[in-house]
Order: sequence, then structure tokens, then C-alpha cells
Amino acid sequence: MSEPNKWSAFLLSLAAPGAGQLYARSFWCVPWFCSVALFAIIAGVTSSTNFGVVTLQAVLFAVLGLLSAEHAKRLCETTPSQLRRSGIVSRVELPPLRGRTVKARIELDVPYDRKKLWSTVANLSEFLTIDTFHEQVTMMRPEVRAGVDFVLSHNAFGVRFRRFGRILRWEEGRGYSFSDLPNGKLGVGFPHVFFIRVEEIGDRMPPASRLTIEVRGKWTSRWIPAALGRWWLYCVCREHARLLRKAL
Amino acid sequence: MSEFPGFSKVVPHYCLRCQAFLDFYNDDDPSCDECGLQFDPENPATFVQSRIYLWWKYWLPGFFLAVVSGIISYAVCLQTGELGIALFVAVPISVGAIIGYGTHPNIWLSLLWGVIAVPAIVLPLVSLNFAGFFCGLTVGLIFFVPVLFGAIMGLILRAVLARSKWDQRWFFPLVFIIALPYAVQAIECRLPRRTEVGTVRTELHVNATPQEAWNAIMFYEEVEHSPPWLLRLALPKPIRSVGNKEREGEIVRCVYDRGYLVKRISRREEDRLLAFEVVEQKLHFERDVTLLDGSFQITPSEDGSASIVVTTRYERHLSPAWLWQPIENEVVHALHEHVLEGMRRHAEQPSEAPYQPKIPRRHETQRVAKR
Repeated sequence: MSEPNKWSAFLLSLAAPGAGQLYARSFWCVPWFCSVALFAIIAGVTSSTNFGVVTLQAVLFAVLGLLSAEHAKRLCETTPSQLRRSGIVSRVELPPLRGRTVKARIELDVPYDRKKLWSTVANLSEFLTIDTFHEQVTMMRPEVRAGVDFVLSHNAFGVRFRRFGRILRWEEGRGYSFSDLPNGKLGVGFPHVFFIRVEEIGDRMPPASRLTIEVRGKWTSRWIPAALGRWWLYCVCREHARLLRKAL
Repeated sequence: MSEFPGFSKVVPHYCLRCQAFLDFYNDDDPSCDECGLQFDPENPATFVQSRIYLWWKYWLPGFFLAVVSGIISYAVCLQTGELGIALFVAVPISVGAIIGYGTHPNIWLSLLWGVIAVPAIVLPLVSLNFAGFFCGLTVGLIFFVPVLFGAIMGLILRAVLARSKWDQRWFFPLVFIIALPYAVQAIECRLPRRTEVGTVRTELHVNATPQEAWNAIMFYEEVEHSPPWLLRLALPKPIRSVGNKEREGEIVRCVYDRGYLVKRISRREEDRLLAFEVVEQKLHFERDVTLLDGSFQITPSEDGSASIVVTTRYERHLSPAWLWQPIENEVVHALHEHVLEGMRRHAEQPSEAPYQPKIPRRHETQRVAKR
């Protein structure tokens, strides 16, 4: 039986709180279904036609759906949670910028040495899928070096699409950078570049190292303001940091 | 393994990004000749073996937007105000312009989508009961020219804006194009409304005396032979007529399968004139025309026969008049001819004269008054 897809679970629970948990084969579906039943009973008891009350009920139900959807998504994440014992500290920074340029930085302090961290980070096929939307990486060459193209299969809220990247720089043991470009004409689809850097933190005992992921790109959407785009990127980076804390 | 030994099955390979054909014999640095994306001949995950031609991306969103916008704007304009320029000109021009601006820039394809969009809009309108079958058919015919005109305008606008540096050009003009029918409707509602009265007159010479012609006077509902296809499509089916026409002031109630008409005899001159006025109309085309009155006038000829002139006056609610008047005239003349043919058959029945089909003469006038 294949692993349940996190976005399928997300959408199921968004539509019917608890359905995503059931899809993820978790008993958490029971409390969610109970909460929906309780909500329905309370709504039935009040049975108000007042616009404010109805709006409040709709908003509360939407919040319940969102919470359930996020919970169902997390249940489907394949990486086991090591959050409590890992001791990884993460920071997400979003420098203030103007115009359409967007930039974000994630820093993770991990409690082991740089070599071990690099062995994880250098495995592109695995490491790049520890991401909110990246689902699969297809390398176009057997060897990993600067100039090699790859395909990043994305899955955002259940919508699958391909984006295309190239390794721009590769410094063994220290870091690399790669592009993440849309499949289409230039100037659309949020083109951005990832800069990955691995470094040791002083002479600590036990050894510690720092993983820095920097994203720089151009917000190309004409519908959504760049400020909203930056906020969106911040949320995605926080989620990315959470997934990295679980996986590393 | 090949089905026939010695012959290997050649499977074409295509680029993952641009779907161009990949040359597997270029061993130095295998990459797509079109977009430059690398591929690995040894790794099937780096290329595809069949093209996924997303041709629907080029026309479906624009076409769908045009149809949905057309249905909504037609329904809104129909419900909110005049049945005029906005409904019959601005809506189809907007539909055509969306297609021209929002689909693949090819003039023939745009015109083709325009032609397909018309039934795609009219059929839902008929099925949603926003228009009857005849009205839907007429609207469909009326829509063709402005839709095609709009499509060409949309293409021209697209070609002009393609050279500009306006970064919202791919969607902002569409907003204006979609809003066009509503804007025209708002302007039309503010303009002074005009009452247009149309008069249609049809004349037929019959081989009967004026007395025989007078005795044969009948309304549409009393004609026995089957009506022509135009009347079957355009008018409700008559069922019966109750009342008499013997005195001035008498009421005649005509019943149809979808409504009724109440007529009052307003003037009666024996063997010469029978006039009536419509006092109540409920025939499901009240928004299109209001029937006012009508008359049968019999004029004796020098040879002892008679000419019958049937007149109908109505108030037109559809505009522009130059567009609707020919259609209304055609329908009313067909109605008159049907009634006159019934009268002729009735009047000439006793005589032994051989049957000679008569061609009625048509007259139309129109009066316009400001309300």
C-alpha cells in the first residue's frame, strides 16, 4: 500500500475535518469527527439566522477545517519526528526589501559536525525533497557537479507541476547553489535561486555546525503584491525549516 | 524485445521541458536542441516518450471566459433594463473581443471560436429560460456579426498592446472588455426612453363580394388550416377564441397554449371595417412587444370583388429598431397572410371559380414618440 500523499490529506480534511486523518490511517480522525459533530450540534442548537452569527459560524468552521488540514498533512510526513531530542535550532529571516526582489534566509544549528551534515546536504535527490512543495528530483546526469540540470517535480496543494533547475556552483564540503525556474517564458513563475552553505560553529564540544539556506528571487506575479509574496515566502520558509528540523 | 528479429522498434524521445524531439546520437553532451535542457539517454526519467500537447491552454481559458461572460452579461442586461444596444450589440462584441484577445492569436481560429461561442451561449440561455426557442434562434443569428467583429477588434487590440510595455496588458483590457456590456447598459438606462409604435398592414384581393369577405372575417385563433413554420416557432399555439364580434364593445378572449389575449371590438361598420384593441396581453413576449390594436378593412373593387386590409399596431420594446423591425414585420406579415388565407378560403368557398393563389401586398409604417 502506497504512502498517503500529504496534500491529498490536506485537501480532504479541509473539505471535511477528520477525513484527511482517516486517509492517513490515524485514529486522530475520531476526535476531529467528534469536533465537527459538536460544532454541528452547537450550530443546530443556536440555529440563528442573524448574519453576524452565521458569518462567525462559517469563519469558525473554516478555521477548524484549516487546523484539521494542517494536522492531516503533518501526519502524512514520512520523516519521523525528532524535534524533541534533536536540539536543532532554526531561524528564518526576511530582510526588508523594496521592489520585486525577494530574499529569505533559513539558518539551522545542528549538534553534529560539518562532515556529517554535508553528507546529508550533498545528497541532492533526498535533501531537496525536504521541502514544502518539492516532491521529486530527477538529475539529468549521473554525477553531481556545477552545470548539471535537474527537474524539480512540485506538488503544491495537490497540483503537480515541473520546474527546472541547474546546479550553478558546487564547492565540495562547503556548499552549492542551484536555480529553480518555471517551465515557460522568462519573467513569470517566480524564478529563484537557492544558496546552500554548510559551516562549523566555532570549536564547540560536542561539535556543532550550521546549515544556511538562502533563497533569492524575483516576485513576478502581477496579481499579488510583492509584499504579500514576501510574507508568503516567509511562511514557506518557516515550514521548510520545520521540515528540516524533523529530517536532519 | 522487438516483435520481428533484426528490427528494433524506434521510439521517439522528447524533451521534458519544451517537448522538442531529442537527438540520441549526439553523444558529447546530450541536451535538447531547442531549450538546452540536458537529458541522460540511459535514464528514462530524464525524457518522455510521447508529447503532451497542451493545446487547450491556448484557447480554452479565453473561450470559456467568453462564454461564461456572455451568458452572465446577457442574463444581467435582460433582467435589469432595456432590451437594446447593450443586450444585442455590446454583449456579442464583448464575447468576440474576449475570444480575440484571450485566445491564441490566429484570425481564423478566433473566428471559428466566435462561431462556436454563439450556440454555446444561446443554448444555455434557452435552457435556463432566459429566451424562448425562437428568440434564442433570432438572438443567435443577430449575435454572429457582432461576435465576429468583436473577435477581430480583440485581435487588433492584442496586436497593438503586444508591442507596448504595459505590464498589466495581458489581463487589464479583459476587465474592460468584460465590463463593456454593463457600462453600455448603464448608459442606455440613463438615456430618455423612446416609445416606438410599429404598424404592419397586409392586403389581399379575394374573388368574393364585400359581403362574403365581411362574413369571413376571423381572428388568428379561428383559422382552421395549419400555420406556417415561422408562426409555429414564433407564436404560442392558439387553442380557442371565446366571445363575439357582433357589436362594438364586445370582448373576445383568445386562449393560447402559453397564455391569452383579450380584445375589445372598438369599431364596427357593417361590410367595411372591424377594428379592435388589445386590452390584455399575456403571451410570454410582453418584454418584446405590446400589441395595441388592429383592424380588418374591406374595400370593394370595381369588378364586384373585394380587397381585405389587415392592420396590426404594436409597441416595440426591442431596440435598435433597424435590427428588429424587419424580423417583426416578417412575423406579423406571416400572421396576416395566414389569417387572410383562412378568410379567402372561407369567402371563396361557395363560388365555383378555379383556385388561384393570391399574393398579399405588404405595407409597414413606424412611428416614434418620446416617452
